[in-house]
Amino acid sequence: MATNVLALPRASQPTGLMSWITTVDHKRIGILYLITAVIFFIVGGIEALIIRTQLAAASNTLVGPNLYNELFTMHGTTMIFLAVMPLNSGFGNYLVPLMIGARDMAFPRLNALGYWLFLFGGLLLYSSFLVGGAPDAGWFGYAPLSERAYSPTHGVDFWILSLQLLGISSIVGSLNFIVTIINMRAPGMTINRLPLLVWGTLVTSLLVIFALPSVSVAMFLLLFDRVFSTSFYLPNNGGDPLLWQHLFWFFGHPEVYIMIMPPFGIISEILATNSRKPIFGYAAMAFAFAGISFVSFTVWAHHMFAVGMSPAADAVFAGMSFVVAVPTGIKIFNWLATIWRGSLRINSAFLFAAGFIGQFTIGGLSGVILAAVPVDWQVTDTYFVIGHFHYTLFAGAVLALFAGTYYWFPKMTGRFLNERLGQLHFWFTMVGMTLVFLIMHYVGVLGMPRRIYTYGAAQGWEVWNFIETIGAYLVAFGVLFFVINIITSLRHKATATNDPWDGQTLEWATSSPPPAYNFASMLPVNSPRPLWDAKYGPHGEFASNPKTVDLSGGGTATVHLPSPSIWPLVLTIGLSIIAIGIIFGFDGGPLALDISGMGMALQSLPIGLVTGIVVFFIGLIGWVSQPAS
Amino acid sequence: MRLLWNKWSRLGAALSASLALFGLAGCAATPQDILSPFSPAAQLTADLFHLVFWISVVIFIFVEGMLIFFVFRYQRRRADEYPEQNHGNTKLEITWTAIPALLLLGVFGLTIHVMGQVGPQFPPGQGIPIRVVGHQWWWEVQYNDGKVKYATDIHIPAGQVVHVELKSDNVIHSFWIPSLMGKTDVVPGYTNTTWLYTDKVGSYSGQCAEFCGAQHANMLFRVIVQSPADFEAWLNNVQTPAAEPAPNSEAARGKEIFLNPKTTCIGCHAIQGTTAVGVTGPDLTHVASRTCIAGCLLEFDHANLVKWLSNPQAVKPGTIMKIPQLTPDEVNALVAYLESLK
Repeated sequence: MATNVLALPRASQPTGLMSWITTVDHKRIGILYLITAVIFFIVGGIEALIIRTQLAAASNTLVGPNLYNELFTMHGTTMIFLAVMPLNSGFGNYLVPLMIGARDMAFPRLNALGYWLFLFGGLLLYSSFLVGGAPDAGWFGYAPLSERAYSPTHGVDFWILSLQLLGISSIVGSLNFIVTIINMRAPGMTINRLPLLVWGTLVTSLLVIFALPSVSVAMFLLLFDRVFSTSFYLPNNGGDPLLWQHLFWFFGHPEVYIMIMPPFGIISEILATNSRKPIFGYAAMAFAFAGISFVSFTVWAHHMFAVGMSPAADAVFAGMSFVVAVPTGIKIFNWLATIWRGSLRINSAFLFAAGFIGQFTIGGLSGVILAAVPVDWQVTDTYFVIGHFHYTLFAGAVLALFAGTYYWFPKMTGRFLNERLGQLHFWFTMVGMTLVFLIMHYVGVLGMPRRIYTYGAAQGWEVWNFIETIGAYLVAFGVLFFVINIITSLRHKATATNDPWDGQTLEWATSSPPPAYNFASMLPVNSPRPLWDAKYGPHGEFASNPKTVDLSGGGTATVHLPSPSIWPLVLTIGLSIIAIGIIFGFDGGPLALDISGMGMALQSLPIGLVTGIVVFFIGLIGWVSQPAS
Repeated sequence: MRLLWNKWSRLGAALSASLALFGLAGCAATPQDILSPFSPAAQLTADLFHLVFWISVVIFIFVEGMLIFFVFRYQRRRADEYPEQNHGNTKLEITWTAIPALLLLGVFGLTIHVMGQVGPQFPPGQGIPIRVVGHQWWWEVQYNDGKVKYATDIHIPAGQVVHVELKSDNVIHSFWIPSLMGKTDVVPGYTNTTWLYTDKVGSYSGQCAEFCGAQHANMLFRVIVQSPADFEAWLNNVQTPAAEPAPNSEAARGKEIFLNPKTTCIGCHAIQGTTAVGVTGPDLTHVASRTCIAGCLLEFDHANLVKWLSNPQAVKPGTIMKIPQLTPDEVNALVAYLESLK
């Protein structure tokens, strides 16, 4: 944003482990998010493979019912909260400041806090495997099954508290995105000139702010039920199990769009660049983002058509669910029109983006089938639904995130990913996912319920499940090519120029990777495509002789940057100890100090909780007393 | 060019696979196929499915066709190509907003219409009441306002509307017979209702559709549709107290074992006419008239009864039926007794 270079010290990028632990640089935090999320994605994928292997044969005994239930609970929770959301956060962190021409996020330390909470939330969730059992009530955690009477291990407690940490992570991340995008845009970049990825991130962040508190409250009430014997969801004591479902899905449905809207933005950027055209119907696209977000708050009970609501409620939620299809259709058609008469560069990024359009369309259409209430009564809670949402979240979000990796990898590392491995990855993914998820629709129509660890041969589902499992392994091979590609490409020489794809937005106007301060100077912004305008002229004046642009200042400009800070990590450790202290600090748990002899109303003191609060406040005091500059 | 060929073959394979899949639906041996309906409600739902499905197929072919055509047609030929910078077209965009909106409005209208015909809230007339109770992990059915308690087989008369009251005192279950009727959840603290109607005599498989714990997968049941006369006869039989085994028979010995508190059977099971009055497990008064046991995981036959009573946890891991290990001799006697409870 600054158009001239400030002569202040500390521009060099420090190295070493401590520099990563204390980093507040949005690019490093973005990379930490991405690496961590890819690892969790692989873990969640391995869980999926075990699930698929168990289901490959009727009456299989590879895993028993308890482990199976833990596996599908962890698969869903991992993929949503530890893979797709943080992958979005990673791309957003890395790219939003670059795309709006800023030097960092508005609150660099808050940004670091978001990452550490994500990492520790994930570790907390997985530590449950080591101490008495993972959560086993499904990622949706329906009460009363998630109550202590029906899920007596600490698994659900771990689930609740790690999701609360992840929730704080998402909230602070979203606040940071909102403030950054509102306040730190380059001069001339009005709201209606935001690159669509940035617009998608802004809209998504607003969704997080409004949707997440609902599930946070729901989970605190469940925690109180489990730890303090309240009965918010227990009907025998006046509670209501359906309250959980409403609170959960009021978050849970917008959550779907929280996961898919940044990928919509990614696809928009890649298709425009790879077509050498502007995105077709920018305004309609932007309104579609906003429209989908708004409507997403009015459809939550379409997850609940079978719970016995009134016909009027069913009808309204069905109607609103059909409405969502309209802006989604607008997006599909605008993407098609973007590549129409373009000059298409067919590479891995483009293939995944085009594959996204083709496959995501299936997810949208099967969603329309599900919104037809009587059909939903038949296919809800069957594999039809699993097929449907994997076509939106895998074919949608994950394909787009793969596309984004191929597209921005040169920007982040200065190195290209290998095209041959990329195309292998693409074709394995396409064939594999079609075998898994398209057939899931069919098996659902054949009446196979979800969340069953086994089935009898007489049901006639075995052959289809076997084919699905083969498909799942093909997808896994695709991911293997992807990981090999990343590892081997990082060993190659950095050959990527500033602008390898002939990009349109500002991140391509600085070096690859960008210097710590991103930009030494800034371009005038008069459209959503400032770099394109600078290269080719606003009306293509220089089309026959495009100009080159470099705003990196050669990487040697001296720009004052925020100090590194350890305090976000300390704060996170404090919150994590609080979480463990709550899980094990009551009912005679190992972190409950017996003080029954002291004549107080309390019989024991949750020392873990108390320790955590102390660490948390040390972190807070350290944070506020460290100069912000 | 190889790339192009791959793209085409992928589409061709995906299309023919999906069409073949849905085409096969009618003739496959799959008892829970929602597209092989045996009731008017399931038929109407299947019709609605087919309609929305084929509309989707048309849109799918249209979108994929354009996508694939564009990807081939507009590949970059020269490095310095500069295509026309087309920012949008209002008329076109209004068109592809309006057409889907109208199409969806039509589907919405039809949805409302079909809801009024097949919805659990809209039974097509007066009928006989039954109560279905979801347990972890088996289904109980009650007739005559709870006077008759039966499990896993739900007998109903053909050609009569059956009003179903759904109860649970534990977790949420979902009541579903794919070939007869869509799902209605069984929610503790609520009394949901649904209905069944078919004029086709037969046995239809159903399954709990809401995740309810360790043995959710094996919470199965059957709806046995009988002629009204057969149904009446069956109902009269199950209202009688349990048959008394012949003195000194193996069954009589089995009865003693059953009633002995050491085996813990009577802690959970009731047999009308005896001192067994447990309520946690299925009422076994006429267990031998049932077609299946263990939440319908096993058919009711001698071998399965032996298998089940020898080690329930091995058959259905996590089942609430936790009994002391019985000797083969005790098992055989118990099985003889249970087989006598017609």
